[in-house]
Amino acid sequence: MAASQASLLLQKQLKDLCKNPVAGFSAGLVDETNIFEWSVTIIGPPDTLYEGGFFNAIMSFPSNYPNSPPTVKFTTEIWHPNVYPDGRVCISILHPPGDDPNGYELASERWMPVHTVESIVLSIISMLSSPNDESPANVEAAKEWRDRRDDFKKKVGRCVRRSQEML
Amino acid sequence: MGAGDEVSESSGGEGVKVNIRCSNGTKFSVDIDLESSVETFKAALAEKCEVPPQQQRLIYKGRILKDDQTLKSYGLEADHTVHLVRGFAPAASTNNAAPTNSGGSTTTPNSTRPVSTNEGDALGGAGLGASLFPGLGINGLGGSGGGLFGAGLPEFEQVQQQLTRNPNIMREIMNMPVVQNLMNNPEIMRNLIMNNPQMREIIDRNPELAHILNDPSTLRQTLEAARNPELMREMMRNTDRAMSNIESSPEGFNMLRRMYETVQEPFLNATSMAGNAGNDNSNPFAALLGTQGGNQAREGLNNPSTTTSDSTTGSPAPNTNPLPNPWMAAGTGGAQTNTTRSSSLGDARPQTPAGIAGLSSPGFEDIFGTMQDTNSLNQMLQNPAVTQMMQSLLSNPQYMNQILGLNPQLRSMVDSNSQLREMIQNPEFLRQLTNPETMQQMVTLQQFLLTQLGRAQSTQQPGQTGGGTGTPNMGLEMLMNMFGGLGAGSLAVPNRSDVPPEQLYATQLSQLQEMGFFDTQENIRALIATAGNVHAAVERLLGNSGQ
Repeated sequence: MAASQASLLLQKQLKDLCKNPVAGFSAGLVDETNIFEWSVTIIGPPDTLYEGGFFNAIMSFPSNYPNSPPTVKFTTEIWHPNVYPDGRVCISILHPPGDDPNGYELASERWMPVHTVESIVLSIISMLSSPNDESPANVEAAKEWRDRRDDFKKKVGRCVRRSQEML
Repeated sequence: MGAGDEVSESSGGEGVKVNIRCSNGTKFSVDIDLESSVETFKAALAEKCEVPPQQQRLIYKGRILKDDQTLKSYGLEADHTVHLVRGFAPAASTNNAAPTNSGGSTTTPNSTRPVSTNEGDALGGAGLGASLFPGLGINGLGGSGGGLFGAGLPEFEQVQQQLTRNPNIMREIMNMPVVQNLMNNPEIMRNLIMNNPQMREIIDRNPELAHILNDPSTLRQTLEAARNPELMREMMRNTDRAMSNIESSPEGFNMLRRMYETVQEPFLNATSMAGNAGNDNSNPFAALLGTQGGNQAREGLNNPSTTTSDSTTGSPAPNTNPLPNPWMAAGTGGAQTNTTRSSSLGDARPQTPAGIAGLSSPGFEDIFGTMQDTNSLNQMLQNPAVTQMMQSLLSNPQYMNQILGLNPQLRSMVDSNSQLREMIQNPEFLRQLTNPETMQQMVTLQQFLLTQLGRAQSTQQPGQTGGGTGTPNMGLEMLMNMFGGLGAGSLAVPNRSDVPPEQLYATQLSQLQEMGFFDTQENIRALIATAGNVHAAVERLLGNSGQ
């Protein structure tokens, strides 16, 4: 069977990640027969508010990966300025390539075909440790992050606890 | 990989080497039999590191390993690496499991759980909820699960997950005489609904809802669908897909939001009011929707009902509403779509479960809306979401026929080509089409064919395509687009020969470049060797460099 370039690339990444995983997350397939849907568990990065939490996310790759970015959606509740209330992750590298219509992001900050599961998840982990409140996906969370840090911490703490109860 | 090591499969006794990676960066490996349970594995790990088994959290392939499963069930293989994280003491002492970080000290999650048991009264609501949201039966049923199984299951979402994962439970529920009785008698349901003044008001204000409630066959179909776990799962998937499609278009989200505000909100308000009144019996929806309401509100739609629904679960305890389940949210939204948007389409296919018909319609309309524009169609089809939707649609011959009937362009294509029509109407063929393998093969075949065409400098049409029909070129292209989604990015085909390979394969070259293959000469060689087939070229390149 001739596999498409996307699935070949993903297959390769999967193999690498199973053998030599990267600290901070673990990745596999949601369903072994579908290489385009990945299930990722992000371990709350140490020394951040999210420490101790386990956040599951689904990564869905388009069939024209790596020309287009995947979408990443948390299935674990997570309170973060750059995560939409429905769980979708909003970071610049996941935005389709080209210039930002709103002029916020440089083309170089947006999707590039060199990104891999690893680089994407690492970006998400770094997003967890340093939220960007300039173009927030969750406005409420961004406001709290800026103005009422205690409330923000409390909500994140609740998410972390819930994610542990899930175990 | 490591096939030689997997003696355990046959002998059951031998261990394989599994690598462990701790959160602090240290690594070690243990020998373990893959047949053994996670619990045993943890015990083995405890000897090698100082984390006691109860505090070990093992993560592999994006999953957290559960104690009672075997390692094999997670697909663990020799030489693979498992993450080990030090967690907190297990649930037995949930109360003092407060994490070290600053956030969490004030609330005690345990105390709130009993509150949710008021779902127990929602037995009637189970069927009703399902029928109110055709195709989203899962919401209602999840709720009923909570009710039926009582307080044992703390988290609504877990119940729901469990239900979807375990078809047996679902079937059991559905086969319970009470539920069956309910299902078989739409009259009862309607009475239940109509007896509730709030509900009646809603229905009065929203004729679309009434329409659904008054159509016994819709009700029955929905429940029928709910009884079939496969179908249900498919439906949930589809809803989510459709929703994300809608959401991703800028107007789409607003539309959803408007729908939410006009239909869902009053509905929720009414039901949660009833819930607050504390008389669950009078309103079987209250508990059910109260819970849901909480989720909805947290979806951050900034609607004023946030307070209302939050207070439903109320009491002094913090809000224990389960995590906002993306499926669920999408699901409910989907219901709105169904009700307000396209009853006409839904009606057009009385044979199909109402849910699916309604759910898929928005996406569908979009598809046909853009049909004229091949480019955007192509783009859309490359979106796996759409592919999946198409796939599930294609799997039902009736849909196919309807699609054909609905789309003039397609119809004319089919009309002018009786062979194609026959092909498309043959369920066997359709089934084959939906087989991803076949699709991919076809795509590859077509690509290959076109490449050959380009080479031969021939403008003539291919006599035979993969499917065995002599479709006109337009048709071929269309078919290609249709199936292109599953295949790879590049359907761009060089049309001229006698040009240097750099030019001939310019598109493919740039694609390879983008994928990180930087050696142009090697790329060209690979492309020439594979007649411009990027997949094959990648395979070749990877084969050369990697393993």
